[in-house]
Amino acid sequence: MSDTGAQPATTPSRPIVLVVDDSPLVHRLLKARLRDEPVDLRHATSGSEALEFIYANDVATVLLDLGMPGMDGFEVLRDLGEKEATTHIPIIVLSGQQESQDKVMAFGLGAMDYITKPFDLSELRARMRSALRIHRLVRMLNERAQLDGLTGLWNRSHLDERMDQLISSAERSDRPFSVALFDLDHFKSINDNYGHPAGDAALQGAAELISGAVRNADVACRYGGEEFAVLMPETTPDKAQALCDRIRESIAERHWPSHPDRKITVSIGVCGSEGATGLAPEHWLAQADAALYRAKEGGRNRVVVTKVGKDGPKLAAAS
Amino acid sequence: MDGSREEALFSVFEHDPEMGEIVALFVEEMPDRIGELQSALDSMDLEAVQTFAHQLKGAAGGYGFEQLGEIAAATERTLRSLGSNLARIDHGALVAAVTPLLSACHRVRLSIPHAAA
Repeated sequence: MSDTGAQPATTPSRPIVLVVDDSPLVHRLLKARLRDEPVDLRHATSGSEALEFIYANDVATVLLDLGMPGMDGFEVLRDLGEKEATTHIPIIVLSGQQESQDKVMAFGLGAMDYITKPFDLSELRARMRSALRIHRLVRMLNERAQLDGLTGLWNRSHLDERMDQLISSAERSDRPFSVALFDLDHFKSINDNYGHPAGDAALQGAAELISGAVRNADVACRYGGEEFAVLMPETTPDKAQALCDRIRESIAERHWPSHPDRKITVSIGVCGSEGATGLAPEHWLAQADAALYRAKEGGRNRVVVTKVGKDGPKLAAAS
Repeated sequence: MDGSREEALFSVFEHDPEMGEIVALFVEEMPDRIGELQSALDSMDLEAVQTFAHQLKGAAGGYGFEQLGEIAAATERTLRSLGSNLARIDHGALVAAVTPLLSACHRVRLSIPHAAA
């Protein structure tokens, strides 16, 4: 999904538009009529199939038929409207001409717009584009609310959210996962000696080096003050250590215009595993924090790694 | 079957480059669709008959068969007026309600044979 990478506000690939209608004729028709639109058109032929797809994918707009056997469009609207993750997906109801009461009810349940069958081609396209525009704006607002204003990295609340998702997914599939905590060394003295603009520049510079080094699937965030965190799915502790060490080095080597003679270093604590651990998200952070503490104690400008597994945490090599 | 050209129903989108292919498919598949409706009638499956009318009402206009869509809409209304109590609907009334739609389905044609057909 485009809103989960290390770099916020990435341009998504084609937005997914889901058509929900029990009639294959309608699917075929919309596929032909929307073939030149820059969207990824998907199809569901029942309400339950639609919900299953929407909960598993990043759907930008839903074109929803109301009258379907089994779970009908109203129930789909109700279900999507009740859930935080889906309540802002624009839904365009596909309705028959004589069904104005249905439209009123659909709007009451959160539908954004409607198109009357048989479809007027240009109207259909215009309404779909407008729904996609709303979706883009809502996404942008959500992203802004999860960004750190100074560095442009994700903020703490985004990290907490993604941390839960990524750890439970790694645990479920018994895959590697690592988390790193970064803390700029003697940051207070930068502020004290060169002023707050220099401190801000240090945070921005470090953030830039971190986000430039992590991969798309990683989540880099400003954790607070002069602390940063990076979530690394599908990453063993050894790989996480190598990545963090590269970042550590690049920060140590950076030239700072406001204090050319004063280098800045970073201490990094990593907690990582090769597979399922049974640890809750807060334990991962606590282990990474303990490793960071040891990195500081050990003389700063270094990476300390704790490997966790089914049999508890083990301290690995420092670098 | 009723096949004379003056009574045939043609699509206004038959020559639309976006639509030509799926309009042809719509016409080609019509005998299968008629077969499904017929067997729903034979087994007195009111719900399947209603779904048939409802889906054609929604889709036919989009394929350029506006009149077919209107007939399907009228059929859906008639079916609704028959009520939902299957025990009280006799086969003759159901067939009578659906006859105009069935006849319209039989009259759906392409004006020129489609190359892909």
